[in-house]
Amino acid sequence: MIRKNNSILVRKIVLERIKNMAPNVKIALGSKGQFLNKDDLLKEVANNTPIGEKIVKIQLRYMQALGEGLI
Amino acid sequence: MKKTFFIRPCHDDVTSYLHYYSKELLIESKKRGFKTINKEKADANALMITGIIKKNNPDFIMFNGHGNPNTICGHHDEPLIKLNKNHSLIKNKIIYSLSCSSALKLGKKVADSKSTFIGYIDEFALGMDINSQAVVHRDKRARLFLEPSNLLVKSLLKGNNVKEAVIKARNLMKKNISKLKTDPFPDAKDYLPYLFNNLVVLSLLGNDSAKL
Repeated sequence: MIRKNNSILVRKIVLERIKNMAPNVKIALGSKGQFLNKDDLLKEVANNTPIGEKIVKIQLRYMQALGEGLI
Repeated sequence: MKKTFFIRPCHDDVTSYLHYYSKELLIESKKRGFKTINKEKADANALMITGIIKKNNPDFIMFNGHGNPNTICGHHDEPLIKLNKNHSLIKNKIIYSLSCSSALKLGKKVADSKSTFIGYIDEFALGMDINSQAVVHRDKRARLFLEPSNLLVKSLLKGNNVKEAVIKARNLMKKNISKLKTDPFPDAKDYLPYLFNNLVVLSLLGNDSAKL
C-alpha cells in the first residue's frame, strides 16, 4: 500500500515538474524517433505508457541524486 | 592500416541529429589515417553492413540509430545486429553503439576478453531546443547531449584506450551538467535529468584496455 502510494506521489511530482518545463524544450527517448514536447511528455506520464514510465524513472533517479548530493 | 566503420541511418528527427553529429567523426577518422568506411541513410541496411564487416573486418564500429536490449537498428529501423542471430559478427572489435539499451543484453553477449562493447544499458536521451530545430548545428542544447559521445570516439581515434575514452565522455557529461546547473535560461534545468540519465546508463563491457 505504501509502495503504491509512493508511486502515485512520484508520478504527481514528475507531472508537476513537466508542467513547469520551458516551452522550447523537447526530449527524445527510446525508439520513437521524434522529440516530445511538454504536452507529449505529460501525456506519456499521465497515461503510464512505457515511455512515461521511463520518464518517471529518469526524473526520480535525478531527484534522488540531487537529494544525496551526488550532483 | 586500421579500419573504422561508421553506420549512420537518417530517417527521423533523432537519427538526423545523430547523422549530423557523426559526420565530424568521419573527418577525424580520415585525418588520423584510418581506413574509414561510411554507410549512411539507405546504405545503412543489414545486407550492406554484413558484407562490409565480413569483407573488411573493421577494428572499430560505431552504430548510430535506434535500438533495444536485443537489437541495433539501421535505416528505417531495420535490425542490423540481433542477439542470438548475428551478434558474433561484431565480436573481436571495439563497438560503440549510440542507440538505446543495446548494451543491456546484446552488448553483454558480445563483450568478452577480446571484444569491447560500449553502449547504453537503458534509454539514451537527447534534448533539443525547438528554436533551433531547423538548424541542427545551432542547437546548443542538443550539443550538450551529443558532444560527450563524440568525444568518446575522438578519444579512441586519438589512441586512448576504451576505458580512458569512456572516462573522458563521462567527465564531459558531468561538466555539461554543471554548466546547465548554472545556466540562467529557464529551459536549462529541464534537460538536467536526461543528461544525468545518459551519464548513468553509459556502459563499458568486455576488454577495457583495448585501443585502436
